[in-house]
Amino acid sequence: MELYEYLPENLEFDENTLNELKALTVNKLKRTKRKNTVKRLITIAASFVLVIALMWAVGFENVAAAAQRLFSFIPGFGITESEENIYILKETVTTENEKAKVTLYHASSVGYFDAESLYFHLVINYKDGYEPNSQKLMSGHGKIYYKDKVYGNEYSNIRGSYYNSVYQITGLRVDFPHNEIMVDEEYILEITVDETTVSIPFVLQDANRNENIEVVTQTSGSISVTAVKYREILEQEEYIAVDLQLKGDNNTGYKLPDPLPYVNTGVYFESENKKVVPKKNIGSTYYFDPRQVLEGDILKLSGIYCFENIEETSFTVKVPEEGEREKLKVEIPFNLGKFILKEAYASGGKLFIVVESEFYADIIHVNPRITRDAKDIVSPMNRDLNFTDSNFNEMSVNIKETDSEIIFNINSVHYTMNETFEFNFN
Amino acid sequence: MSDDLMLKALQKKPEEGLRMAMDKYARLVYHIALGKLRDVCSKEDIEELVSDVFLALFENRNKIKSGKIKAFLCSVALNKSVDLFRRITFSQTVELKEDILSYDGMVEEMFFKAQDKKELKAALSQLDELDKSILARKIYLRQTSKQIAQALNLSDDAVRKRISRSYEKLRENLSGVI
Repeated sequence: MELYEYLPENLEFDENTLNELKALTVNKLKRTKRKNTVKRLITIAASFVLVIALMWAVGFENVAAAAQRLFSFIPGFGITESEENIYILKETVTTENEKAKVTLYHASSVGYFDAESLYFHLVINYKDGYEPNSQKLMSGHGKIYYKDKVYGNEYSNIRGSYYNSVYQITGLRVDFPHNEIMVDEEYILEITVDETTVSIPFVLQDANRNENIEVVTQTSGSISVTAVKYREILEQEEYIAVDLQLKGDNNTGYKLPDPLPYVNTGVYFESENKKVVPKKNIGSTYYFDPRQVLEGDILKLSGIYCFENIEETSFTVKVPEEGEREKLKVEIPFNLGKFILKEAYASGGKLFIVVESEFYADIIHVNPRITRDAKDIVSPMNRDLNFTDSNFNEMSVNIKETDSEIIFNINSVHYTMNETFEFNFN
Repeated sequence: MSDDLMLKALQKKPEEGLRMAMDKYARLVYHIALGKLRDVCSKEDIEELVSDVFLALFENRNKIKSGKIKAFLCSVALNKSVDLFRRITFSQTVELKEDILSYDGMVEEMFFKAQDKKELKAALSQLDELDKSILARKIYLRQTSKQIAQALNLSDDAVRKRISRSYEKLRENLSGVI
């Protein structure tokens, strides 16, 4: 018998929770079906309208070229070749000081109309006995030096996670003016973490010009993902590495939040009869066992989980009498949409706030980080508040006896985009 | 309701089959998610995850083999929970809990490293039934030694000893694999 078969089935469970779960699941199922149908219809209709408009405006001869350019930005018509420069690290670099060993595993570029950004993944291994200050880890930042130029500033913040003497930095972005990133030149990355500054020299290469590196870009919805596949040796073991670079679609103007969003909702290679999951990942670089991945296996990425830090916003809601409703006029914008708080009402000792949400992408789950009374703001979750569905159409909070009004704060929004990508490396 | 009938229902009347599967397995899936996420997620997030697990069952209803519904749900619930836990704690300093550093944590990590490997099944077959019950509760439900002791009518100390013995046995049998 396998281990799961030893699991008990008589666990405590509230019947109301079961009913809520059933309703939630069935609603999601209906929404997914509806969204898929609407999305297909909109895509087809938009394609026709655009092509006809183009033919009328610029003449038939120019339509083919124009349509090709346009289709690369219409949801569902992904592009498979990247025209942009894709820079990645030429080799892994390690440096150390008295406190720690720092390894730069990965750098990759993401280009926009007006600028290009380099994203870095580093791992800091603290040496015996040294315990970094966790708060100071959070306030780290990085810059890049090249000859007499400096890129990045104290706002080029570092994001990472610390565990067991290892600090993994997966969110350091440094911006460059357009066309200023160079290959085969030595840059110096200077990071300041825990009040210690470390300099790491590194050299970039152009992934498109290296025949051992495969690059495929796909676009879906508002998101474009470039997958860069190459071989890499880490800790004396060879891997197939796939670096996933995400960016917002230039055409919609949506720029993905900084730092790099998570993409690890589902990343795997698939062929007819097998699925190969990564052995590990460092940031958004996924490492696969080369014995399991065969030529022609397709890389799949499903769902994209992002979070956005938004400017901290407070709003005050007057607690209405039981059964009464209070109109609200509060708008909370973020990169990918906005929340509009419409009204508040009191029922059963709780304050309910009705929210209208507008999203500029296909969102299957949204979770704003809202707290009350300016407390516990940094907490990832706040158990005082309840959101009644996955798209945040209503929230509730217990009313205390002393409450005549309640102050809420919001400082970030987490969401999962319903986008899937397939990369065929040939 | 047998799993075979449930699978047939899922394939012929999908929404009805989904409800049947939830009636039978929602509590187990919920407890797997709760075990991993109770310190970092709200009830609503856990419910979201549970519904996603059942949606995955729905989407894969034609690929799942007979008798494998429970295996599918447990595996997806555990992997999704670990995934979400990692995402949520990504930007935070994780507070180290004692059990992460003990055999409890190590046995869980070993299970994750080896879960896709056929050697794990052979290694687990070396354990006795009681040890497997303890490990199942530890790995899937993240029950504490005290909770396991109460449920299986054992002493705390006996549970801890069995976990450490299981860890050593698994490590021995899986050496060279993970």
